[in-house]
Amino acid sequence: MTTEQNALLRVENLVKHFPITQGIIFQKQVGAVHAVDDISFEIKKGETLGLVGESGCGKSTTGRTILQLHRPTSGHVFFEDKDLVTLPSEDLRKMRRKMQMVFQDPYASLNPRMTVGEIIGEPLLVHNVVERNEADERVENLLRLVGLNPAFTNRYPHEFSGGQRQRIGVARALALQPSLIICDEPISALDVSVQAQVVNLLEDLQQQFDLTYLFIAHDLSMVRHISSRVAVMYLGVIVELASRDALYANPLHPYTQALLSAIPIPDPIAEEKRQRIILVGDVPSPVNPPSGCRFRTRCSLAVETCAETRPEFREVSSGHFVACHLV
Amino acid sequence: MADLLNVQGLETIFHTREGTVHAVNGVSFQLKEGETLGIVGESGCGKSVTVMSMLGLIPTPPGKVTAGKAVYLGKDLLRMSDDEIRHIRGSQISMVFQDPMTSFNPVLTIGLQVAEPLEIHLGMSRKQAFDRVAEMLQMVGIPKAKDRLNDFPHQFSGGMRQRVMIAMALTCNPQVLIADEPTTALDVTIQAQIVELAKRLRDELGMAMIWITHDLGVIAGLADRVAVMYGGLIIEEAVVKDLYANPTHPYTLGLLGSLPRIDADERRRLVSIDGLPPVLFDKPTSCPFAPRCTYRIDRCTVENPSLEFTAAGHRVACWVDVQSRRPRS
Repeated sequence: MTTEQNALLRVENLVKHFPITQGIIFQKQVGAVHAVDDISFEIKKGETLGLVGESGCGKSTTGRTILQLHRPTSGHVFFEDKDLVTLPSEDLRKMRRKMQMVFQDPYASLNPRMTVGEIIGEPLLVHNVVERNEADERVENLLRLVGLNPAFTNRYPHEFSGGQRQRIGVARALALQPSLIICDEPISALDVSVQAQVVNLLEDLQQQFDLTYLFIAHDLSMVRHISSRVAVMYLGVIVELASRDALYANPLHPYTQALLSAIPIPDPIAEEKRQRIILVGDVPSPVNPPSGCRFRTRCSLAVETCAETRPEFREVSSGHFVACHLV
Repeated sequence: MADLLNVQGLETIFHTREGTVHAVNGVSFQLKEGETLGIVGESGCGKSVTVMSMLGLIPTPPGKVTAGKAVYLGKDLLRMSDDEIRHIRGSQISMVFQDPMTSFNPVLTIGLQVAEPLEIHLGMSRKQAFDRVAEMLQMVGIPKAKDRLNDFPHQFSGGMRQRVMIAMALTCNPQVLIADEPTTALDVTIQAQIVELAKRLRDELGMAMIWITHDLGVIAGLADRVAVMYGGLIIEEAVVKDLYANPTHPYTLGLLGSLPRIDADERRRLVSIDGLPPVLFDKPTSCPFAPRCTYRIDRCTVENPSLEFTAAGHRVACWVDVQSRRPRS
C-alpha cells in the first residue's frame, strides 16, 4: 500500500492469533484462533474510518491490537510514524495519551465503585497532566462538553442511563485530549432514539477538536452516516476498503454486496422493490479458517482459484481496495 | 377476515422494591387471520410484557395482569385456568423468544426439546414425534436434520438455534406465531435468513404473526400492520405503508428521523429525541411522551390522549396534528 504523509495511523500486515492450549500444568498449544490475519490500512488525520463486520470477524481485536491492549503476533502499527509494536513500554505509555478508546458496553466499562468525577479524572492523574486540585475543574468542563450536568461529578455510574453512561465514557476518552479515538461499537447497546444522541455528540466533538476516529460497528447504516471511509472485515481479513460513497454505491466484493443487501430499510415501498442476496450458512470457525479466500464457503460465485490462493488486497480504482479473485 | 385475537384494555403491573411499575397501561389491538402485526418500541416500552400477559406468562408475583381481556376464538385467554391455557400455548399460539442462546435447556438434546410439544399436545409417540421433528428441522433449513436430533443446543450456531426455535414453535401448526425480537441477537446476514424463513413459512402455513422488534427496518418488509408502543401504550397504529409514509405521532416521527438510511442520497444530521424513555411508577395521567415532545401543548401535560382514528385504518394518540402543529379538533 502506498504511504501518505498525512496518515495518523498506519497498520501494516497486522496479525493476531490467540493460542488454544491443552493440559492443566504443562500447557501446550494445539491450535490458534486466527482473529486478525494480515490486515493493512491507514487512517488519515481528521477522518473517520468505519470498520464493519459481523460478530467474530475480528474488528474489536483489531481495535485493541492497535492500542497494544493485545500485543500483535506480527505486523506493525505506526502512530505518528512511531512503531507501537517495538516501542519501549515507557514510551508506549506516553503515546497512549494520544489514543483513547470508547467501549461497547457502557454498563461494564465504568467502575461501579468510582464516582463519575473519579472515572473521568483518573486518566488526568495517572498521566500527571494536571494537579489534583485542578482536576475537578477539568472534569466539570468535560462533563459540560458531553452534555451532562457538571453537578453530577459525585454520582455513581448506576445512577445514569445507558446513553448517559456512554457520554461518561466519551468524556473519559477525551480527558487527555487524544488525537485518535477508537470507538468499539459505542452505540450498539443503546436504544434507537438515544443512539442518534451519541452519534451526534461524536460528530460535534470531532469537528470541535479535529479528532480522528476508528469507528467499529456492525450497523452498516450508522457506519455510512458517520464515516468518511469504510473497511469491511470478514473472518479476520479486510475484504474491501473504499471511500464511503464508493463502497455503498458500488460494492465490489461479494460479501460487501450481500451485507449491504441484508440491511433492512425502514420503508416498506423500498423493501418491496429490493432484491436480497441471502447468504447461505454461517461464518466458519476462525480456528480453522477456509483455505484461499475466507469467504469462498458462502460465496455463490466461488471458483477453483478461490480455494487455492488467498486473493491479494489490491487497489482496483483510486482508493478502492478489494480482495477478490473475480474483481 | 375475522378477528383471530382481540385484545382490549390490557393492563399489567409489577411490584418492585422501588415501587409499582405500570408496564402496560391499557393496550388494545386486533389480529386477523393470516395477518402479520408488528409491534415496535424501545426497551421498556411494554411490548414483550403485552404478549407475555396475553399468554399468562407473567410471573405472579411480582407481576400481575390487572385489567383487560384477550379474546382468542371467542374465549378470553386471561380468564382461563392454567390447564386450559397450557393447551393453547405451544399448540395454537406459540412463541419464539429473543435469545436463542438461553431459551433452550442446555442438558437436553434438540430432538427431545422440539418433540416435547408434539408429545404433550398431540399425544404422539417418541418415534412419531422424532420423525416429525426431523421434517420440521428440514423445513426450517437445518442441513442433515435427521443426524442432528441427538445434538445438544451448544452444538448449534446462533442462527441455527433460532431456526430450531422456530421449528419448535411450528410443530403443532399454530394459528398464531408470536416472535419476540427473534433476530436482535443475530448478525445482519443471519437476520436476513431468519426473516426470509419466517415470511416463507407464514405464506406456506397461512398463520398469523405478531412480530415484536425495536427495528423499524425489519418490520417494514414483513408486517401488514404496525403498532408503535411507548410508555406501556400503543401510541400509533396503521397499515405498514401508511405508517412510514404518514407518521402522525411525534414519537414515530422521531424514531424514523433518528435512523440513518442506507439508501439515502445525502448525509443529514440525525434527528435525536432528547431525554429518556420513562420508567412508569405511576399510571400515566398525561401523555407519556410529553416530556420529550417538541410538539407539546398545555393539554398534553394534563390529559392522556386516547387512540383515535385519523384516517381509515390509522389510529393515533396525540392531541396535536403534527402537520399543522395545531391542536386536533
